Amino acid sequence: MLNKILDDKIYKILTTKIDYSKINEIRIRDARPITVFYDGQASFLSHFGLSNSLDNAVIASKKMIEEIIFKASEFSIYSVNEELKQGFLVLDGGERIGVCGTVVIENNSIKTITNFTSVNIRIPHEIKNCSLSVFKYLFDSQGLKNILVVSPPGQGKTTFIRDFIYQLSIRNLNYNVLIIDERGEIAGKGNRLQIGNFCDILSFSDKQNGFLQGIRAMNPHLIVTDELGADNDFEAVRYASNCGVKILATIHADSIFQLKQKSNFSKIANIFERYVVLEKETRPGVIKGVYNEKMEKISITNNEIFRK
Amino acid sequence: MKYLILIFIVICGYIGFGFSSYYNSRLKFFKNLELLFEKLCLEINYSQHKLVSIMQDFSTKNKDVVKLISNYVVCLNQNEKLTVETLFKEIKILNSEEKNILNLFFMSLGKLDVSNQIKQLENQKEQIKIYYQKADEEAKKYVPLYMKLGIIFGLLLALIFI
Repeated sequence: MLNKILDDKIYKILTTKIDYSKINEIRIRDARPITVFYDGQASFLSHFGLSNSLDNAVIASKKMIEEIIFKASEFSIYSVNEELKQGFLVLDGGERIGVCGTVVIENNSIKTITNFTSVNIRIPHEIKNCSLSVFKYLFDSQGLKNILVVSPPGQGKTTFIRDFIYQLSIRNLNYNVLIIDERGEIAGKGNRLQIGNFCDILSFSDKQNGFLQGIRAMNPHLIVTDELGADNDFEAVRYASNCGVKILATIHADSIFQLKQKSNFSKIANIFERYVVLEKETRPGVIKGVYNEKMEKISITNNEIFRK
Repeated sequence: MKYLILIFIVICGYIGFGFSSYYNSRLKFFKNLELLFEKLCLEINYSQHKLVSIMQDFSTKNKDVVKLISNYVVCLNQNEKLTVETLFKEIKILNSEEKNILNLFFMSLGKLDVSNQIKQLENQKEQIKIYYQKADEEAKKYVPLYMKLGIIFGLLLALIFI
C-alpha cells in the first residue's frame, strides 16, 4: 500500500535496499532527514539503505509530505477530514499515518489541519503465534479473562491483540468477538488484516458509542479495543463489564507500577483479571510478564513474542 | 445544373458548419463543465465520495469533458504532474488563458476540507459561467456568420464554374 503514497524513489529504497518487513515506522519531517525505525532502532534513510550518518540521508520536503497526505486520502482530502482532525489517516493495509501541521480552530473545535509539516507512517505487522506464549495464562476453567495489554506506544500492543483474536478464532472457542476499531488499525481499513472468522468490526467509532451500540446490536462475548485513555473509555469498559461481556483492551504505560499510578485507572482496576505487560528491550514486543488481578506476576519468564 | 449548384452550396455550407462547430463545442464544453462542478459540489458536500469516483460517475456525451476527466484521472493514478499539456491533451477548443485557469483549479482540487473545497468550486463555477457567456456570445456571432459565409462561398463557386 505504501507504494501508492510514497515517492517512487523512496519506496524503491525501502523495498530493495532493506528488509521491508522489519520497518516499524517511517518519520518524514519537512527539511529534515527521513528517519526509519527498523527492527526497533532509528536510522536515517539514505540512497543506499539505512545509515547513521547524515551525509547521504534523504531529506524530506514539504511537497513530499503534502503529496503523501493527498495520495493517502485518494486525492480527496475533504473525504478524510474527520480523521485528519484527530491527527491521523489509515490506509487499507492498516498503516497509520500520523499528521502534524497547523490546526485550524473554529468555534472552539478543530476544523481541519493544514500546512502539513510532518508525517509518521506506522506499519502494522501480522506476526502469527506471537500471543501463543501467554495464551494459557489468559484462560482458566471458567473461560476467557478480562485482559489489559500494557506498554509504551509502538511496542506491539495492537499486533498482540490482533494475533490473540486470530488464535481465539482458529481454536473455534465459540467467542463472538466485537472489535471497536477506533482508528481502523486492528483490522485494517476494509478489514484486510487477519483477525479470524468470528469477528465483527465497528470501525472509526469512539469507544463509548461503540460499546453501547455493539453490545445492543451484536451480542458479543468479547469486546476488543485499542488504547484506553479518556474517562469516557473507562466508562465504556465499565459498562461492558457490567453487561457481562469480556474485554481485551490496551493501555499506554511503561510498567504495572506506572499503570497503578494513572489517576483514572482506579475506575477499572477491579475489572481486569490479567495484565500482559510488553516492554522494549532489544526490539519492540517483548513480554515482560503476565499479571493477575492482584497485579502479581504469574508468567514464568520474559518471552519474546515477535520472532524474526 | 440545378443539382450542381445545390452540391456546391451544400458542400460549402457544410464547411461553414465545420468552422462554426468550434464555437458550438466550446459552448457545450463549458455547459458540461458547469454540470460537472455542480455534481462535485453536491457529492463533496453530502456523500464525500472520492474525487476519482465522482469524476468517473459523471455522465456526459461531451467528448472534450470526457477527455478532460480521463486525462485528469490518468495524471492522478499514474503520478504524472498536472500540466496544461497533460490535462488538455487532445482538447483543442480552449485558449491558453482558459487552460491555465482550469489547470490551476484542477491542481488544487481535492486538497482542501469540505467547506473550503465547496467555496473553491463555487468560485470556479462562476468563472465557468463567465466563459460560458462569452462562448455563447461568440457562438451567436460566429455560428450564423460561418454558415452564411459557407453558403455564399458555395453560390460564388457555382457562379464561377457554371
